[in-house]
This record gives sequence, structure tokens and C-alpha cells, in this order.
Amino acid sequence: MTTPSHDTDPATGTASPHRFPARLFRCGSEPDPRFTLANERTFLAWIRTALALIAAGVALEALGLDLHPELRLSASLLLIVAGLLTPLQAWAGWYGTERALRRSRPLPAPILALPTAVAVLAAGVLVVLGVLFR
Amino acid sequence: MSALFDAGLQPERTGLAWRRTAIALAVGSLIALRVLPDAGGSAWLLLPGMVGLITAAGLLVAAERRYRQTHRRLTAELPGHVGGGAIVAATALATGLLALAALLFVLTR
Repeated sequence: MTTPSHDTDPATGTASPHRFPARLFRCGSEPDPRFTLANERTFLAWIRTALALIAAGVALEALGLDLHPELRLSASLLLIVAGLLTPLQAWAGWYGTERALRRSRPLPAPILALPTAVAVLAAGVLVVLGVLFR
Repeated sequence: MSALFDAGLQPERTGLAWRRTAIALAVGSLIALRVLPDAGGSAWLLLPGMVGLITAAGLLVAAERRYRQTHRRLTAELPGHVGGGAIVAATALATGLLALAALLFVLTR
């Protein structure tokens, strides 16, 4: 199950360049590269989600919108905190998925998927309330 | 460049995903440069947009290099496997720092 294969390339027998983090690439065996690439795209999708959450949170406060101030601030903080946690999910998900692929284990579920959805929903509700009670 | 590695264009799609992430950061940074100075009045508010633009440019260059390297490794022109995590970690870290700056902006204005 654990056959370290990162030191030499099986195809050419030449030394393989070091990959970060070494602990991750020491475990298991090299998966189908297409899975590794798909994992990378999932990571990037989380990063773009984080960028959108951060931008939305900043825009709410920066644009001087005529909303109830406390509700607007709450929505903004909620979005930005979600945008702060999302890169953690992006990294942990990338790491955990790569490790599971290398060990031929089931892939981990994204822990922050549901909390992110709830945060976006709650921010939307806060903005609607902010419009109604301005 | 030699023949494609994969009919599903996985390396190409991954290269494009890096590119659109960098473009998203660039667009966000440009909007920040336009909007933030009006919102606060401090010259410091230009900083996130500028750093974001420079990071986006660096990400585009790194993404192009990574795609070429991936392609050459998969078609066995280069030794080694695909998918090191250094740029992955750097991207996650930079995004986290951006969120902290956003938090600081919202809490101190």
C-alpha cells in the first residue's frame, strides 16, 4: 500500500524534483496525474469563492449603501469571515484529497461546504432585512 | 509543443483555472483601487489593490510556467511528477491575508 516512489521517476529512472510539502509526497504512491490536476482545479475554485466572498464583504461597507448600518456591517463581517475560512478549506481539502489519492482511500468531504452555503444565505437575509429596515 | 497528454485536456483546463483565478484577483484589485480610496481617504487604502495586482501578475506568470512544466512532464520530455504544492500553499496564504486586510478595513472605518 505504501510504496514510496517519489525519489526516482519510474519511467526514466532519473531523480524526481523535490515537491512541497515533502511529508505529503512521501506517502503512498503516485496517483493518475489527471486526478491530481482535478484536485488542483477544485482548490482554485475554493480560492475564487474566497475572493468573491471577500470582495462582497468589502463592497457592502465601501460603497456607502443606504442600508440599516448594523445589519449591513453584520452581513459584511459574515462574508469576510467566510472568506477568511475558505482558503483554509481550500488548502486542507487539497492536502487531504491528494493524500487520499496517494493512499487509494475514499476522498474527504469538504468540511466547510455547508457552513459556506449557510453564511452566504444568512448574509443575503441580513442584506434584505437591511433594505427593509433602513 | 508535442502531442497532448490527455484527450480530456486536463493540463489545459488546469492552466485555464489558474488563469481565471489570477484574472479574478486582478479585477477585484482594480475595483479596490477605484472604490477604496473614496471610502476612507487614507493612502493606505491603495495598498491592497496594488499588492493584489502584482500578485495576480505573478500568478499568471507562475501558472504559465506550471502548465508548460506539467505538459512536458506528462509527455515525458521532463523527469518528475506533476502537482507540487508550493504555489498552492502560497495562493491560499495570500488569499487568507487578503481576507485579514478586508476584516481590518471593515472594522476600522
